[in-house]
Amino acid sequence: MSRPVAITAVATWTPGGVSVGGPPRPAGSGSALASWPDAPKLATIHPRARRPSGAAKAVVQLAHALFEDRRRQGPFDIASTSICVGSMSGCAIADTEFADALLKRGDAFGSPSTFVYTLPTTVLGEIAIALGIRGEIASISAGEASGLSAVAVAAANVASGRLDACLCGGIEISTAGAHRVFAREARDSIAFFLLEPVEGTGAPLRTWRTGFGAPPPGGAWPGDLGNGPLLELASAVGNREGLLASVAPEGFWATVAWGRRAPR
Amino acid sequence: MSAVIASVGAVTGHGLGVERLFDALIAGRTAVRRSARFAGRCLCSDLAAEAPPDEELRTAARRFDVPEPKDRATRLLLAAAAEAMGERRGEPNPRRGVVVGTTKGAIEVSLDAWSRNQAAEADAVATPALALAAAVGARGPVRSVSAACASSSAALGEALALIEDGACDEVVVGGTEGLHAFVYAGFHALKAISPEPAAPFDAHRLGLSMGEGAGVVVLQSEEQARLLGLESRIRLASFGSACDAHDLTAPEPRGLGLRAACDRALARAGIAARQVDCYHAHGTATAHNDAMEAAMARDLFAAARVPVTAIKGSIGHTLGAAGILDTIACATYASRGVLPPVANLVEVDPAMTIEPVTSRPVETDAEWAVVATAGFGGINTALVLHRPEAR
Repeated sequence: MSRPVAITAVATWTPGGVSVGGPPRPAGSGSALASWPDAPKLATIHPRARRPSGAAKAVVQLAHALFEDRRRQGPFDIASTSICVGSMSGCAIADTEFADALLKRGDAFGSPSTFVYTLPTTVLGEIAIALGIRGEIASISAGEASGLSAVAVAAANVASGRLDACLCGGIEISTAGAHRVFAREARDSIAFFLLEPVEGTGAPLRTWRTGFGAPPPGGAWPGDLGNGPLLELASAVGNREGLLASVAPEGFWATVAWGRRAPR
Repeated sequence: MSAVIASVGAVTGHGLGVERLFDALIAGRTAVRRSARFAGRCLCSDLAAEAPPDEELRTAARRFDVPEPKDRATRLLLAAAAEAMGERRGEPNPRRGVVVGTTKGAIEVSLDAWSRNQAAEADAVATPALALAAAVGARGPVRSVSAACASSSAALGEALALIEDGACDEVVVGGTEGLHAFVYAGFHALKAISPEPAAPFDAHRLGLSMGEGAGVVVLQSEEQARLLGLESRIRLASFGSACDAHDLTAPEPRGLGLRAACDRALARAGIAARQVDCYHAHGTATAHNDAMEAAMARDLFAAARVPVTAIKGSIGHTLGAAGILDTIACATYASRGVLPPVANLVEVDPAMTIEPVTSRPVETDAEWAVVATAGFGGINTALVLHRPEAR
């Protein structure tokens, strides 16, 4: 089975701000995510959240905004949606917090609430609990190609019929106070896309590939870890066609091409 | 579409190799024992199933021409890969992929950077996959997949998808997890570790035992396997996954998420639950997991008396490596027509109306088996294995 796949919703959060349904906000000067004064209240969208990490709160809020935007376009079954997100920095902030606590208080006195967030998929599980998502959940790591690889994996799974719809993209959050605990020169960002098996709406994806070793022609986007190409993709989904490549120095690569077929 | 399990390799608390794992499982032996690493730290236990020391792992993986790994998980993975690849040479091949499941990967490299007040630079979760790709000459898709304790099951599912979609003829699939004080302290904080060796489905179970290890499965397309004369090997028939959307750490008590994962996997394999001959359980020995799994299995299999087995009493909970080690164990014992007993299980919890294999191995002519895993975040996976030579 091979079905059409299109990006039907997009949301980004960068140091420049939050954007839902449009291109990312221009980056500000800092590396941390910009404040979002109008963010949906976590108590409303995720009343069962106990002590969510900062990253968990942010991804739940942005995912909620994306699905609200999608529902404005028409009915949507969120329960059968899956989540596939890439990350190079993973859960670096939770890792450092838990490790620091062990150093200060001793091995026997770590915080269970913090430890739970030392898994890359915990924040994705938080989205699922908050929004009632019951499909598959996984995160992808492929160096700086993580984010675009996750989009490619999601596209393949939706096209084949293995998944009904998929929230995909990348999460790179590792600014802790005044420091960065991962990749000192990078900036934080979240880029989410919703892929659905539809034709005639959204931005259709044409091809998706991942590989290792000699990469295809393309480029890398330093400064935002694996999310650089995703922010490019979010900027470009309204364009008629395009091709993005993400190449990691270690050898991981991914490409995604989109665009409407030219009329005959 | 299924894929053929062409070869396997494993490193566990029982040592290097699938044979040592199989012998221990059949004998009902446990590798969970006192560890000097965790004694005297005021933790609720000092038990663990530790894999062989680094030097032994290095020796096993010496045939690979790759840089010396800086982390335990990658050493474990390469040692398992050496067994799975056998004498084969890893010539660069664009039709060969690598998918590795792990939760923490090379975490000690990041911890070391942070201890020196530096930012971490390497993608710790992708590090083992990178080394395995270099070792086996993968030039197709290469990535690491994380799905909590279901990580390497998800990696097998992803590998099956790559073969189904025609992106690869062969995928070298791995799962690996080193045992670090960081993770041990975390499970202590969650009050999940048992002071006694884990006893899945036992009436007196007190929680899980930590383990470490790695497994590697070489998965091939049907066509590739036919060319190599491997068509009689066990198949990975299908994969299914579903999320509980219930709680970050506790499973949905009725096992609805795991049931959905099993239903998806069975539907993709084209079989009914009544055709399943063996249920290989996640079986962590925590109160919540085992009760959930028993409730789910009772509901799924209804009146069918499907035998249940589990290996975490023998090798501990290996987290990101658990799913692939479960799969390797299941493929091995099914191909030899015998189901191992659940190690440390003495008295089956009367609240569980399932039939775990106890005390001694039982003969089987299993054709279809389900391997289940579950993880934090409410993630559930199921793999269906098919033995074509049965009956």
